[in-house]
Amino acid sequence: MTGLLELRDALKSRKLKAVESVGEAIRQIKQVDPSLHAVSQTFEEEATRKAEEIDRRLAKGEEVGPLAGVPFTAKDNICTCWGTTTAASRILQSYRAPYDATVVSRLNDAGAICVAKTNMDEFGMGSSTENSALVGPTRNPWKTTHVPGGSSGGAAALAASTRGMIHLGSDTGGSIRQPAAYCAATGMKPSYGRVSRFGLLAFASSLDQIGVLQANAAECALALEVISGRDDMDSTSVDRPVPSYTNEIEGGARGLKIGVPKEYFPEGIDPEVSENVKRGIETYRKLGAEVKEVSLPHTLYANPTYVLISAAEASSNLARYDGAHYGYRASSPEDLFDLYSRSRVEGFGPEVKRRIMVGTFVLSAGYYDAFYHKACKVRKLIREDFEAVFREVDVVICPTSPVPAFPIGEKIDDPLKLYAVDILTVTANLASVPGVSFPCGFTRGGLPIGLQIYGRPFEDGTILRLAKAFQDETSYHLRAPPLKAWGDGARA
Amino acid sequence: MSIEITDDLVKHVARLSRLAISSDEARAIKAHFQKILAYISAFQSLETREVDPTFFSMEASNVYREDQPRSSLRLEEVLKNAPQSSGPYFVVPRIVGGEAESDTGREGESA
Repeated sequence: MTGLLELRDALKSRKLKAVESVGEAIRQIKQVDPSLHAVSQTFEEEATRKAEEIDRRLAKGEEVGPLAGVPFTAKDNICTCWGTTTAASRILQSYRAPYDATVVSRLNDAGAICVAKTNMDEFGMGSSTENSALVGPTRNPWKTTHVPGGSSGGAAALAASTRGMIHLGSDTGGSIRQPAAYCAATGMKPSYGRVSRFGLLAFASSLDQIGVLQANAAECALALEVISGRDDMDSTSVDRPVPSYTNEIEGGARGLKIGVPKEYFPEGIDPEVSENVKRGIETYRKLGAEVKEVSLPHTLYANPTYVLISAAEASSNLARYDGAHYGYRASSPEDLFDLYSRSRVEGFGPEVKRRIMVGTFVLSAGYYDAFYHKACKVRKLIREDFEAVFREVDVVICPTSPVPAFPIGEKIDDPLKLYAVDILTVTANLASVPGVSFPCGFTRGGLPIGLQIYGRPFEDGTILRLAKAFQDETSYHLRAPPLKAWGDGARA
Repeated sequence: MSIEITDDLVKHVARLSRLAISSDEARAIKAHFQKILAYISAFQSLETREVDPTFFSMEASNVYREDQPRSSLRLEEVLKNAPQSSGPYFVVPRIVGGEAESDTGREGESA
């Protein structure tokens, strides 16, 4: 068995049973996880039971759903009734969600089966998955001394080293696309509002979006089709019809207009990244796309704006963790203030505390106008940059990250160094446009390099179509990492 | 704007954040604040007087729904994650009355 599409077909034609599909997923995870630490928990028992039930229903001729028997994993900030939902934080170490996130219910309703929760940076705050308070750092299957990127690092490591599963991640400033780039996965952050966030533990609500990390664009299209659409439980989810992404990805690159923003090859970018991405752009020219240089002049201000706005929203969202209703509570509190302040200081990790304090500061009296309000104005300018460019071209292409995966420990002690790897991904969240990252080459040292495509809001199908066109032409996405759960052969 | 990061400011923000940070943590946060403020001040020179701020990056409009009753979580589901509960209640330290009347945070300082 190879990729997700073949698995789905084998299940559909009843050549493969759901129990076999789940068994194989668990086997793969158990094989790679001791080296990768990508998973926070597996659901072998629950998943097997559900697979048996699906097999019984299929045997009776019942209609189960388009993904009957397909295994999936959820990042540990996505609520599941099974197991715990921790956001990799001590403050939620034993939290058992009383409901499934909408994305999880939609996959369940389609017949898919959750097999594991994946590791992440605490509350999504990080770009390396070194900030997990419960599992420890996840490793990169291409080089286990290196980070897988983050914060959806567990999902990215699994997407690269296993086959035939859907991996749900979340992306607030690049947390799907940057780890996808570091692990040679295809990572899709849909348009803001495309996918319901009900049941996603909120980090920064105007930026957060759920998406998937897969072996290729066709797999992303299949998964996105199922999880997208309006949800009454999330008022920011948009009531627009969900197109058939699996149809929309056909059609190639011919005739599409591609913009290459000059600001996205900044000083200090790794020369191998720049070289490979530029070669990727040439591939599109050969495929019949029209390529031209464009400008997004406020790019320089994007990361400071992101750092400020995301911290502000986090300080507000994370105020709910107070030790009163659920989550960690400090022992023998003297009074309510002590209960709040000690539960929070003992429950949150250092990076989360830093961001809460920065966020609280920029929202506090005397500083609100100079910082938060100003940042919201700059965000408007960044958004207008994109609106202008998308009147000229259909998509924008750029590197996903200015550097490839870096060694574990290299940047973790300097938050600003770590924030700097996000400079090319945060704009998608600030402007609420969709973005996809996929491999366009490798460094001489064998580390993957990601190319990123941004599209107009709700033209998610167009960027997946371009990713597919690239993958039909090239084989970078088929290359298998040294650490993988199958013997020989390509990825999917 | 140039801001001096003092120990008192860090203490004040920690209090607003409901984080009982240690003096070591306060020192580290102070250093971090200095760096981060320099970083996020990058756009201070940008002229934005005429710009409408974007708080939410889509055309957000208020969403209404019918006010219809629907089922909610069972009590045991709600309380299963409670650090401490008693019967149908969450248990917290005394909030009003007696000596333990505490500062629950009406400081009115955050915007």
